[in-house]
Amino acid sequence: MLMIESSPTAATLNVPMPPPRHTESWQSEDALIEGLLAHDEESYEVLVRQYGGSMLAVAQRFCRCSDEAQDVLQEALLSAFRGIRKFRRGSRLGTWLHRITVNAALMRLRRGASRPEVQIDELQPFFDSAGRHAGPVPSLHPTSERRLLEKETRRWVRACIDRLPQTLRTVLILRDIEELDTLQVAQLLDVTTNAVKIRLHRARLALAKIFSEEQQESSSVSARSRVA
Amino acid sequence: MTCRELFELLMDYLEGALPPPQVELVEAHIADCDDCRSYIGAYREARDLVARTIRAEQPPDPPEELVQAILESRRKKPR
Ligand SMILES: [Zn+2]
Repeated sequence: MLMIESSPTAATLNVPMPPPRHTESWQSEDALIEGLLAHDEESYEVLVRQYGGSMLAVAQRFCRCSDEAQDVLQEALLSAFRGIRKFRRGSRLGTWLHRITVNAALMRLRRGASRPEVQIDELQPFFDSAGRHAGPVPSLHPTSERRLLEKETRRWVRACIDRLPQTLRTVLILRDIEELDTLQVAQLLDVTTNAVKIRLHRARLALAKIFSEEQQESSSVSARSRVA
Repeated sequence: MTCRELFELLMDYLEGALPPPQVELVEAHIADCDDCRSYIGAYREARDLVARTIRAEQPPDPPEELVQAILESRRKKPR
Protein backbone atom coordinates (compact mmCIF):
# COMPACT_ATOMS: atom_id res chain seq x y z
CA MET A 1 0.00 0.00 0.00
CA LEU A 2 1.31 3.39 -0.92
CA MET A 3 0.68 6.26 1.49
CA ILE A 4 1.05 9.71 0.07
CA GLU A 5 1.57 12.41 2.63
CA SER A 6 0.89 15.98 1.81
CA SER A 7 2.79 18.43 3.88
CA PRO A 8 1.60 21.93 3.04
CA THR A 9 3.03 23.36 6.25
CA ALA A 10 6.53 22.24 5.49
CA ALA A 11 6.26 23.58 1.94
CA THR A 12 5.02 26.99 2.95
CA LEU A 13 7.62 27.31 5.71
CA ASN A 14 10.28 26.40 3.15
CA VAL A 15 11.85 23.73 5.35
CA PRO A 16 13.59 20.85 3.60
CA MET A 17 11.23 18.04 2.76
CA PRO A 18 11.77 14.91 4.79
CA PRO A 19 12.69 11.78 2.83
CA PRO A 20 9.67 9.98 1.36
CA ARG A 21 7.70 8.36 4.16
CA HIS A 22 6.73 5.25 2.28
CA THR A 23 9.02 2.30 2.00
CA GLU A 24 7.48 0.83 -1.12
CA SER A 25 9.10 3.24 -3.49
CA TRP A 26 12.73 3.64 -4.39
CA GLN A 27 14.44 6.52 -2.67
CA SER A 28 17.20 8.64 -4.03
CA GLU A 29 20.55 7.79 -2.50
CA ASP A 30 21.05 11.27 -1.07
CA ALA A 31 17.70 11.28 0.70
CA LEU A 32 18.35 7.82 2.04
CA ILE A 33 21.77 8.75 3.40
CA GLU A 34 20.34 11.88 5.03
CA GLY A 35 17.73 9.70 6.69
CA LEU A 36 20.29 7.21 7.94
CA LEU A 37 22.49 9.96 9.34
CA ALA A 38 19.45 11.33 11.15
CA HIS A 39 18.73 7.83 12.57
CA ASP A 40 15.39 7.83 10.82
CA GLU A 41 13.76 4.48 11.51
CA GLU A 42 12.15 4.16 8.11
CA SER A 43 15.38 4.91 6.28
CA TYR A 44 16.92 1.84 7.87
CA GLU A 45 14.07 -0.21 6.57
CA VAL A 46 14.34 1.33 3.11
CA LEU A 47 18.04 0.49 3.04
CA VAL A 48 17.35 -3.13 3.99
CA ARG A 49 14.59 -3.48 1.40
CA GLN A 50 16.36 -1.65 -1.38
CA TYR A 51 19.80 -3.22 -1.04
CA GLY A 52 19.24 -6.35 1.06
CA GLY A 53 18.52 -8.58 -1.93
CA SER A 54 21.73 -7.80 -3.79
CA MET A 55 23.70 -8.04 -0.56
CA LEU A 56 22.16 -11.44 0.21
CA ALA A 57 23.07 -12.62 -3.29
CA VAL A 58 26.72 -11.74 -2.59
CA ALA A 59 26.62 -13.50 0.78
CA GLN A 60 25.10 -16.63 -0.82
CA ARG A 61 27.90 -16.80 -3.37
CA PHE A 62 30.51 -16.97 -0.60
CA CYS A 63 28.66 -19.07 1.96
CA ARG A 64 27.84 -22.68 1.42
CA CYS A 65 24.65 -22.66 3.45
CA SER A 66 21.75 -20.25 3.50
CA ASP A 67 21.74 -19.69 7.28
CA GLU A 68 25.31 -18.56 7.09
CA ALA A 69 24.50 -16.23 4.19
CA GLN A 70 21.67 -14.69 6.22
CA ASP A 71 24.03 -14.12 9.15
CA VAL A 72 26.47 -12.42 6.80
CA LEU A 73 23.71 -10.16 5.49
CA GLN A 74 22.77 -9.23 9.03
CA GLU A 75 26.37 -8.51 10.02
CA ALA A 76 26.91 -6.46 6.88
CA LEU A 77 23.77 -4.37 7.34
CA LEU A 78 24.44 -3.72 11.02
CA SER A 79 27.96 -2.64 10.21
CA ALA A 80 26.62 -0.36 7.45
CA PHE A 81 24.19 1.22 9.93
CA ARG A 82 27.01 1.78 12.41
CA GLY A 83 29.43 3.04 9.80
CA ILE A 84 27.18 5.26 7.68
CA ARG A 85 29.21 8.31 8.74
CA LYS A 86 32.23 6.77 7.05
CA PHE A 87 30.39 6.63 3.73
CA ARG A 88 32.05 9.07 1.34
CA ARG A 89 29.57 11.33 -0.44
CA GLY A 90 29.91 11.16 -4.17
CA SER A 91 30.61 7.43 -4.21
CA ARG A 92 27.83 4.94 -4.85
CA LEU A 93 25.96 3.55 -1.88
CA GLY A 94 25.56 0.22 -3.67
CA THR A 95 29.32 -0.09 -4.18
CA TRP A 96 30.00 0.73 -0.53
CA LEU A 97 27.45 -1.84 0.65
CA HIS A 98 28.91 -4.41 -1.74
CA ARG A 99 32.35 -3.97 -0.18
CA ILE A 100 30.92 -4.24 3.33
CA THR A 101 29.14 -7.47 2.39
CA VAL A 102 32.27 -8.93 0.80
CA ASN A 103 34.24 -8.08 3.95
CA ALA A 104 31.63 -9.65 6.21
CA ALA A 105 31.59 -12.79 4.06
CA LEU A 106 35.39 -13.08 4.04
CA MET A 107 35.47 -12.68 7.79
CA ARG A 108 32.90 -15.44 8.11
CA LEU A 109 34.92 -17.74 5.85
CA ARG A 110 38.06 -17.14 7.91
CA ARG A 111 36.20 -17.95 11.12
CA GLY A 112 34.59 -21.06 9.65
CA ALA A 113 35.87 -24.56 10.25
CA SER A 114 38.28 -25.76 7.58
CA ARG A 115 36.83 -28.37 5.27
CA PRO A 116 38.48 -31.41 3.78
CA GLU A 117 39.74 -30.30 0.40
CA VAL A 118 40.99 -31.77 -2.83
CA GLN A 119 44.68 -31.15 -3.34
CA ILE A 120 45.20 -28.19 -5.67
CA ASP A 121 47.64 -30.21 -7.79
CA GLU A 122 45.02 -32.80 -8.65
CA LEU A 123 43.02 -30.12 -10.38
CA GLN A 124 45.94 -28.71 -12.36
CA PRO A 125 47.26 -30.01 -15.69
CA PHE A 126 49.58 -33.05 -15.59
CA PHE A 127 52.40 -33.71 -18.06
CA ASP A 128 54.48 -36.74 -18.92
CA SER A 129 58.26 -36.72 -19.13
CA ALA A 130 58.08 -35.55 -22.74
CA GLY A 131 56.00 -32.53 -21.66
CA ARG A 132 52.77 -33.80 -23.22
CA HIS A 133 49.43 -33.87 -21.40
CA ALA A 134 49.09 -36.93 -19.20
CA GLY A 135 45.68 -38.05 -18.00
CA PRO A 136 42.33 -36.84 -19.29
CA VAL A 137 42.28 -33.40 -20.87
CA PRO A 138 39.23 -31.30 -19.99
CA SER A 139 36.76 -30.70 -22.76
CA LEU A 140 33.52 -28.81 -22.29
CA HIS A 141 30.57 -28.87 -24.61
CA PRO A 142 29.11 -25.38 -24.53
CA THR A 143 25.67 -26.55 -25.65
CA SER A 144 25.12 -29.23 -23.03
CA GLU A 145 23.98 -26.81 -20.35
CA ARG A 146 21.06 -25.70 -22.55
CA ARG A 147 19.43 -29.03 -21.90
CA LEU A 148 19.19 -28.05 -18.26
CA LEU A 149 16.93 -25.42 -16.79
CA GLU A 150 18.53 -22.16 -15.83
CA LYS A 151 18.06 -22.88 -12.16
CA GLU A 152 19.54 -26.35 -12.42
CA THR A 153 22.52 -25.04 -14.35
CA ARG A 154 23.14 -22.47 -11.66
CA ARG A 155 22.99 -25.10 -8.95
CA TRP A 156 25.36 -27.29 -10.92
CA VAL A 157 27.82 -24.44 -11.47
CA ARG A 158 27.69 -23.55 -7.77
CA ALA A 159 28.35 -27.14 -6.76
CA CYS A 160 31.38 -27.23 -9.08
CA ILE A 161 32.73 -23.95 -7.62
CA ASP A 162 32.26 -25.42 -4.14
CA ARG A 163 34.64 -28.24 -5.03
CA LEU A 164 37.48 -25.75 -5.44
CA PRO A 165 40.01 -25.49 -2.61
CA GLN A 166 39.09 -22.49 -0.47
CA THR A 167 41.97 -20.18 -1.49
CA LEU A 168 41.15 -20.63 -5.17
CA ARG A 169 37.41 -20.45 -4.63
CA THR A 170 37.61 -17.13 -2.81
CA VAL A 171 39.72 -15.50 -5.52
CA LEU A 172 37.48 -16.85 -8.28
CA ILE A 173 34.39 -15.42 -6.60
CA LEU A 174 36.01 -12.06 -5.94
CA ARG A 175 37.41 -11.67 -9.47
CA ASP A 176 35.07 -13.52 -11.82
CA ILE A 177 31.78 -13.09 -9.99
CA GLU A 178 32.02 -10.00 -7.79
CA GLU A 179 34.21 -8.38 -10.44
CA LEU A 180 36.69 -6.72 -8.11
CA ASP A 181 39.99 -5.88 -9.78
CA THR A 182 43.28 -7.61 -9.04
CA LEU A 183 44.55 -4.83 -6.78
CA GLN A 184 41.33 -4.71 -4.74
CA VAL A 185 41.45 -8.48 -4.21
CA ALA A 186 45.13 -8.33 -3.26
CA GLN A 187 44.36 -5.71 -0.63
CA LEU A 188 41.37 -7.61 0.74
CA LEU A 189 43.32 -10.85 1.08
CA ASP A 190 46.61 -9.20 2.01
CA VAL A 191 48.57 -10.94 -0.74
CA THR A 192 50.50 -9.65 -3.78
CA THR A 193 48.74 -8.88 -7.07
CA ASN A 194 50.80 -11.62 -8.66
CA ALA A 195 49.49 -14.14 -6.14
CA VAL A 196 45.94 -13.08 -7.05
CA LYS A 197 46.64 -13.57 -10.77
CA ILE A 198 48.15 -17.00 -10.19
CA ARG A 199 45.32 -18.14 -7.92
CA LEU A 200 42.71 -16.94 -10.39
CA HIS A 201 44.43 -18.75 -13.24
CA ARG A 202 44.67 -21.94 -11.17
CA ALA A 203 41.05 -21.62 -10.11
CA ARG A 204 39.91 -21.40 -13.73
CA LEU A 205 42.12 -24.33 -14.75
CA ALA A 206 40.72 -26.34 -11.87
CA LEU A 207 37.17 -25.36 -12.69
CA ALA A 208 37.64 -26.41 -16.31
CA LYS A 209 38.65 -29.83 -15.01
CA ILE A 210 35.78 -30.04 -12.52
CA PHE A 211 33.14 -28.96 -15.06
CA SER A 212 34.51 -31.42 -17.58
CA GLU A 213 34.53 -34.31 -15.08
CA GLU A 214 31.01 -33.51 -13.90
CA GLN A 215 29.73 -33.19 -17.45
CA GLN A 216 31.18 -36.57 -18.41
CA GLU A 217 29.80 -38.07 -15.22
CA SER A 218 26.28 -36.77 -15.88
CA SER A 219 26.30 -37.78 -19.54
CA SER A 220 27.36 -41.32 -18.61
CA VAL A 221 24.61 -41.39 -15.98
CA SER A 222 22.00 -40.34 -18.54
CA ALA A 223 23.40 -42.83 -21.06
CA ARG A 224 23.08 -45.57 -18.43
CA SER A 225 19.53 -44.53 -17.61
CA ARG A 226 18.61 -44.61 -21.31
CA VAL A 227 19.92 -48.16 -21.52
CA ALA A 228 18.09 -49.22 -18.37
CA MET B 1 57.26 -26.06 -27.70
CA THR B 2 55.80 -28.79 -25.50
CA CYS B 3 52.35 -28.72 -23.86
CA ARG B 4 54.07 -28.17 -20.50
CA GLU B 5 55.97 -25.17 -21.85
CA LEU B 6 52.77 -23.77 -23.30
CA PHE B 7 51.00 -24.04 -19.94
CA GLU B 8 53.86 -22.21 -18.27
CA LEU B 9 53.13 -19.26 -20.57
CA LEU B 10 49.36 -19.66 -20.65
CA MET B 11 48.45 -17.16 -17.94
CA ASP B 12 50.48 -14.39 -19.56
CA TYR B 13 49.25 -15.38 -23.00
CA LEU B 14 45.59 -15.17 -21.98
CA GLU B 15 46.23 -11.84 -20.27
CA GLY B 16 47.86 -10.47 -23.41
CA ALA B 17 51.09 -9.98 -21.47
CA LEU B 18 53.30 -12.12 -23.70
CA PRO B 19 55.81 -10.58 -26.17
CA PRO B 20 54.87 -11.14 -29.86
CA PRO B 21 57.53 -13.77 -30.68
CA GLN B 22 56.27 -15.97 -27.84
CA VAL B 23 52.65 -15.36 -28.86
CA GLU B 24 53.53 -16.81 -32.27
CA LEU B 25 55.03 -19.92 -30.70
CA VAL B 26 52.03 -20.39 -28.42
CA GLU B 27 49.54 -19.99 -31.25
CA ALA B 28 51.46 -22.34 -33.52
CA HIS B 29 51.34 -25.00 -30.79
CA ILE B 30 47.62 -24.47 -30.14
CA ALA B 31 46.84 -24.76 -33.86
CA ASP B 32 48.69 -28.05 -33.90
CA CYS B 33 47.68 -29.68 -30.59
CA ASP B 34 44.17 -31.02 -29.96
CA ASP B 35 44.80 -31.50 -26.23
CA CYS B 36 45.90 -27.92 -25.60
CA ARG B 37 43.07 -26.58 -27.77
CA SER B 38 40.55 -28.61 -25.81
CA TYR B 39 42.02 -27.57 -22.44
CA ILE B 40 42.09 -23.88 -23.30
CA GLY B 41 38.59 -24.11 -24.75
CA ALA B 42 37.37 -25.64 -21.49
CA TYR B 43 39.16 -22.92 -19.52
CA ARG B 44 37.41 -20.16 -21.49
CA GLU B 45 34.08 -21.96 -21.37
CA ALA B 46 34.39 -22.44 -17.59
CA ARG B 47 35.04 -18.73 -17.10
CA ASP B 48 32.11 -17.76 -19.34
CA LEU B 49 29.77 -20.28 -17.74
CA VAL B 50 30.39 -18.74 -14.31
CA ALA B 51 29.74 -15.27 -15.70
CA ARG B 52 26.53 -16.09 -17.49
CA THR B 53 24.98 -18.17 -14.71
CA ILE B 54 26.10 -16.97 -11.28
CA ARG B 55 26.93 -13.39 -12.16
CA ALA B 56 23.71 -12.93 -14.11
CA GLU B 57 21.56 -14.22 -11.27
CA GLN B 58 18.63 -12.10 -10.09
CA PRO B 59 19.06 -11.14 -6.43
CA PRO B 60 16.69 -12.96 -4.05
CA ASP B 61 14.22 -11.23 -1.77
CA PRO B 62 15.48 -11.51 1.80
CA PRO B 63 12.89 -13.40 3.87
CA GLU B 64 10.56 -11.08 5.76
CA GLU B 65 11.50 -12.58 9.16
CA LEU B 66 15.12 -11.81 8.41
CA VAL B 67 14.33 -8.21 7.49
CA GLN B 68 12.40 -7.80 10.74
CA ALA B 69 15.15 -9.51 12.77
CA ILE B 70 17.79 -7.17 11.34
CA LEU B 71 15.73 -4.05 12.04
CA GLU B 72 14.97 -5.35 15.51
CA SER B 73 18.61 -6.01 16.38
CA ARG B 74 19.51 -2.53 15.17
CA ARG B 75 16.99 -1.02 17.58
CA LYS B 76 18.44 -3.00 20.46
CA LYS B 77 22.03 -2.04 19.80
CA PRO B 78 23.47 1.26 20.95
CA ARG B 79 24.28 3.58 18.06
ZN1 LIG C 1 49.80 -29.16 -26.44
